[in-house]
Amino acid sequence: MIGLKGLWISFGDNEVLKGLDLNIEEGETVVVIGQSGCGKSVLLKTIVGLISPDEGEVIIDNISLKNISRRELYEIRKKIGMVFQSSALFDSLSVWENIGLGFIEHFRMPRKEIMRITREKLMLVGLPDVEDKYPAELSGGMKKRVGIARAIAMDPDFVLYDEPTAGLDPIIADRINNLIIELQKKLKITTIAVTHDIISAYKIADRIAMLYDGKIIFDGTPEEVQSTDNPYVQQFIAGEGEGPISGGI
Amino acid sequence: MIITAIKSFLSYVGGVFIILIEGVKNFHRAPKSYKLILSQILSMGISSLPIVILVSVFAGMVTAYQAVFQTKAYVPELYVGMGVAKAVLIELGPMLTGLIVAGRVSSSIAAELGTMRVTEQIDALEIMGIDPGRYLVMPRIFAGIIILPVLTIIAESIMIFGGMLVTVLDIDISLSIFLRGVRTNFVALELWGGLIKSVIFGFLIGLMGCYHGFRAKGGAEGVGQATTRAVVSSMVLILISDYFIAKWVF
Ligand SMILES: Nc1ncnc2c1ncn2[C@@H]1O[C@H](COP(=O)(O)OP(=O)(O)O)[C@@H](O)[C@H]1O
Ligand SMILES: [Mg+2]
Repeated sequence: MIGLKGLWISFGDNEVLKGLDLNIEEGETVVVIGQSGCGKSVLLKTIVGLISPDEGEVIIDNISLKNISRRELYEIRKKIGMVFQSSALFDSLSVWENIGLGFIEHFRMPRKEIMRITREKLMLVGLPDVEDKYPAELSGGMKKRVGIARAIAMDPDFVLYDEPTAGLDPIIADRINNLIIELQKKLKITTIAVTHDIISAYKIADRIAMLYDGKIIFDGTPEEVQSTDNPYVQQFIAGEGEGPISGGI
Repeated sequence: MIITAIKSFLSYVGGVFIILIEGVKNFHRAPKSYKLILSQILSMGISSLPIVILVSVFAGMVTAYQAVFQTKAYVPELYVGMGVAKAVLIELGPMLTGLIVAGRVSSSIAAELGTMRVTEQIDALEIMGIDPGRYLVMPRIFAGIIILPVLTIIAESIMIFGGMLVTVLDIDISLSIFLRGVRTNFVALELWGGLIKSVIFGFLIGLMGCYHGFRAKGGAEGVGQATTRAVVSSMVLILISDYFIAKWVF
């Protein structure tokens, strides 16, 4: 379980999160929606301890990230996989090294064993026969899949997705959505995704939370989102320029 | 105005210090990470060697030529070799090599790490529980410390060789007099002092490359800025530290 309690984060004068509360239960898929620049990536980075909140705390499986040592933080991170918006594959490493880097660095496993695990994960994300390629040789959708394979390599309990469908065409995006659902079912992982892609949110979410003005202003099932009379949510899901939401350019 | 300047200077020093600690505290893990270090040493060495050789030949030739030209009428020929050797070992070898490698290597470290920073690859390492201090910073600083003295020794040999070519072929001083000059008044401290300098220069080159790479932000433009800053700051620090080492050692 992941608990976010009263998170405040600012960069200089720019207050990004203003007392955000959110709980993510075991095994569920929560999608946080919100405008570009509203702090979705900051939220994910805070959950994994890349950003420390000015106030509030992050609790993962009953351990607070507040005041823990770097070593303890690294231990907790072993339970978490993250898929980055730009995939963030290591350019200088081949696909199998990207996926196996954790095994290479933490366990010094023999190459053969790492290759076996890598192939297994690549099969899971539907991408056989690319283990010797380099990231520069892959398409956007393939990079995303390799990024997902890397995130699930060490059998994490939680997987976080930052804009999993951004920059992909609608067909590839839908396949990535299906993959996220499939992995969640097969591997029983707890999933948190952030996105501004409302179609993707409907498709993969058990629960959708909307981030606006530094707080979660709505939290409910996809059905509840569709029937809500919250004007902010209505404006966002309808994709209308005019309405109560004033931020953004 | 002044307060902002002081603040930004302090935050700069603090930031450099943090990277320094990230690198140095992982030095004890160097044996286990020898592959990472070795690949850095190779890429630094291979990328710098051609330009180091080219510059060294000409620097040695110019030094010999000037040594002769400035002292022709009133200094015995024996002192040409000595002058070249001393200039090269004390100052020219370590300093020129340091500046060349600063241009070649600290820029490429900053570009590589800067790209990793802005494309979230460094975040990805962190999340995989891999300490970027050990995985990225330590191997680069360590490799800088090892490769720079090696390149410096190569550069010094080539400089003296270049000086020898000019003196023997162009100025008609015999080879044996030149070589006797090189050995005359040779002080080991000068050789070692120069190499100690090069160790410090190598450290600074790795450190500034890592620091500016890690701090890069805002896409390709930010990476470009980081690259330039890494080169300028490592060159300035090399010159400053050269002065202080000269004061303390000699
Ligand atoms: N490391 C940082 N330093 C300063 N400002 C940041 C940093 N990361 C994010 N921000 C700011 O926080 C806000 C939210 O960014 P982000 O979380 O990336 O938005 P998004 O919802 O599109 O993912 C933006 O205004 C951004 O400029
Ligand atoms: Mg984002």
